[in-house]
Order: sequence, then C-alpha cells, then structure tokens
Amino acid sequence: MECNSAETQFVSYIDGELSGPLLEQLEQHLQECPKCRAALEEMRNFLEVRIPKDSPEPSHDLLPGLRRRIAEPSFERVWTVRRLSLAAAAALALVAAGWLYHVDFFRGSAAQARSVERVLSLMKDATGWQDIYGVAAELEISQVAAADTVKAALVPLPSPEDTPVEITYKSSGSGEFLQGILDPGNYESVTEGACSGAECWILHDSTKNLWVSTRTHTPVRVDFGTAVGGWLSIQNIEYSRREGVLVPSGFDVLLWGPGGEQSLRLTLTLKDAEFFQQEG
Amino acid sequence: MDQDQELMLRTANGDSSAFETLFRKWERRVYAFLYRALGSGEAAEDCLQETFVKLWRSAPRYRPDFKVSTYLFRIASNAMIDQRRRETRHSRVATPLSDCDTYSSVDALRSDVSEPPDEIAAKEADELLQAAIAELPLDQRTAFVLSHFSGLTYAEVAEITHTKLGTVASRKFAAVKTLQRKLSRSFGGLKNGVQ
Repeated sequence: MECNSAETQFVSYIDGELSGPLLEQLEQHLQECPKCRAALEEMRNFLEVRIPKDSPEPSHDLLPGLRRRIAEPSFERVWTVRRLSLAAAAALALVAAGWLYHVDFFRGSAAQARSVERVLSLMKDATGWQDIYGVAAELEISQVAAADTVKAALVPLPSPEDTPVEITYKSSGSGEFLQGILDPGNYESVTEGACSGAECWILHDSTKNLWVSTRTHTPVRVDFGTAVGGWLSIQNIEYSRREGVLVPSGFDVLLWGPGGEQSLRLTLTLKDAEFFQQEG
Repeated sequence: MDQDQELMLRTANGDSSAFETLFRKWERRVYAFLYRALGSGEAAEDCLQETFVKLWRSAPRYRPDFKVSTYLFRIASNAMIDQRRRETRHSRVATPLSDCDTYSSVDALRSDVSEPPDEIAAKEADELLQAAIAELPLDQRTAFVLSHFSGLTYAEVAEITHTKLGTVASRKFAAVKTLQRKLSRSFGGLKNGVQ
C-alpha cells in the first residue's frame, strides 16, 4: 500500500470501520512507514482534541412543546366542499399546476376511465407513494366559503434525496376556480395555517381569492375528496445539483379523476430560488 | 424486533408514552447532529421538534424492517436541509460551500481573536469549529456530523444518506482533511501571533 492510499483510510481506521484485507494492508504499511504512523497519530490527536464529540444540549426541555404539537388536530381529512364538480376540481388542478409551470396541460386525450376505488388502488401502488423514501403532502380544505379556511399539513416520509417542491392552489370563496397570474406583491396578508411552521402558509390577495401554498416533497397528492374524486400527483422527480443542493429538474404530473387520467412530463429549469419554469 | 421498533409500532398506534420514550432516548444525539449541521442552537431546537413531530405523524407508515435510528435521522437530515433552504431564501445569500482557499468565516473569526491560544475560550474554539463545519459541502458535512457527533456507524450513515459505505468513508475523510487544514491553520496562526 502506498502512503497516499494509506492516508485516505486513516479516518476509517480511527473510527474502527476498517476490516478485512484493507485493514491488514494498512496495518502492514503502518508498521513499515514511520511517516504515516506520525500522520495517523496527528489526525487522531486532531480529532480528539480539536473536534470533541460532545455537543451542547438544547437550552430547555422541548418535550412540553412537542406534546402540544402532536396534540394538534389530525389533518388527514378530506375536502368537505360538496358543491364542487369534477370539472371544478380538475380546473383547480390545472390552474394550480398549469399556472405555476406555465404549461398547457390538457394536450392529450382522456385516458381510460377509472372508478374512484381503482384510482385509490393505483395511488396506493404508485411508485414511491407509500415508500418511506418519499414525502407526501395532503391538503385539508374545509369551509371554502366566506370565511375561507384552508388547512394543509405535511405527511412526512423522509427521503435523503428529496427537496421541497412548491405547489400552489387557488380558489375563490365561492368554490369557483379562477385562473390568474400570481402577483407576489399583491398580497394583503400572509398568515400561517394549521400546517407546521413555515412549511406552508395561507395568502389572501387583494381580489379576495384564496391562495394556499405549501412547501412539500415528492410525491405530492392533492386529495379533492371522494365526493369529487380527483387527485393530482407529482412523481418520478429527477434532481440536479445546484449549489451543492439537489433540486428538482423534472417530474411527472398525473391527474386522476373518475373520468380519466392525464399525465405530462415536465422538465424544469430553476429561475430563482423559489420558482420553476418549463423548459422547452 | 428491537426495543426501538417496538416503541415505534406502539407510537404508530397512538401511544404517546412510547413516543416520549423514543424522544428522550434520541433527542440528544439528534440535537447534536442538527446543532453541528446547522450551527445554531435555536435552529437546531426548531428542527429537533419538527423532526419528532414528523416522526409522530409518519409513525403509521413506519415499516419495522428499517431501524428506527435510520428512519429518525433521515427525517432529521431532511429537516436540516429544509431549514438550510429556508435560511438561504430568507437571507438571499448563498452559503459558501467549498471555497477553502478564499477568505472564510474561519479567517474572519481568527482575525478578530487577539488572545494567545491557551487563553482562547472554549466557546470561541467551538465557534471556529462550527464555522469550519458550516463551510463544508453539504454531503461531507452531513456524513461527518452524523458519524462524528451522533455516533452512527458508516453503514447507518450510508443508509440515511442513501449512499454507499465507501462514499461515506471518502466524504468523512475529505471533511476531516478540510477541517484539519482550516483549524490547524487558524490555531497555528493564533499560536504564532498571526492576526
């Protein structure tokens, strides 16, 4: 074993992570090479003295606050608005995704019609949907009336590769869905919803339309409720690296409803830190 | 099935006492990871709480063929990345990643210190360390902190970060070499009276 190769194993050796032939080769080399023995001891000393393994503890007991957080109402309910038609639900999905990504969604024909149960079954079996490597979001939207109330929450299923994806929904208080252009400078107020912390929020713009934005992970499901029967899913996200962080560079958008299925593959370029735009 | 997995399954059934037992058992190690990875006690506390809220909510989806530690640290790792992205968005200033040869926050800290090394407070030494860790590339930082401060094996880190064992080893080695170069330089500079 050469000195350069030996050095790359020092940390693993100190950590007790070497075994087998590699361990034997390194120890043999160390016996023969005083320079590497010295370098190994220097690294060991550096790790012990300059990077002690002990770390500060939390400044206070976090359990009481945690108890309050987990006692918050469950978010796993469905949209209670029953006046909505499938068309309205589909329009919402289209407005949500199409607006955000500037895409004409319904370019293809409707796929084979499926029942709600069939759609549910497909969703459960979808790649990554119940896989713990994904993170899903469910939205609970209730009382979409004069006093617009929208609750959103994350269903966290951790992934080492995921990164937040921004999705935005728009509705008016009457349950009609209006297409428009988001004007970030047009908000009257920004308040946190029932979701956790800064991960989602509720916005009202000056036209009184309701915007809900949630930062979430792949895959995403928007549940319009069985009364409506529509689902929007973002799946098969591909990532590229930006400033050392993995960000989405493309994904499949699938829209299900009792009447059929639509899908589209989007390729994205990062316009800035927050928004994506379709490429080509 | 180990004790953690049993606790996790009880948690999945809504047993809050099992959940609190898990919290007490793991909070320090998860906090150590978050504190070292984020460089802020306040942010680490927020992320720690968020991590366990997510653990509670995702418990029904937990599969016992995964170790709880892996599952938990994966959530924490995601929370850390989310927190970092939020900070970047708010500050609109990109975090330097690997510009080891440029003027760094370690250099900045060093230039502010006029005391000889034997009088450097432990807090300042920790700040130097934190600044150096913060400048590591994210993948190296995560591997290093999970292994060094949270006491996880390379195999566990590999599972959490979805990489190979050899990748964890090389990332940690690269991180240690960078830290050794930066901290030895700053410490040596102080020792020699270099401002």
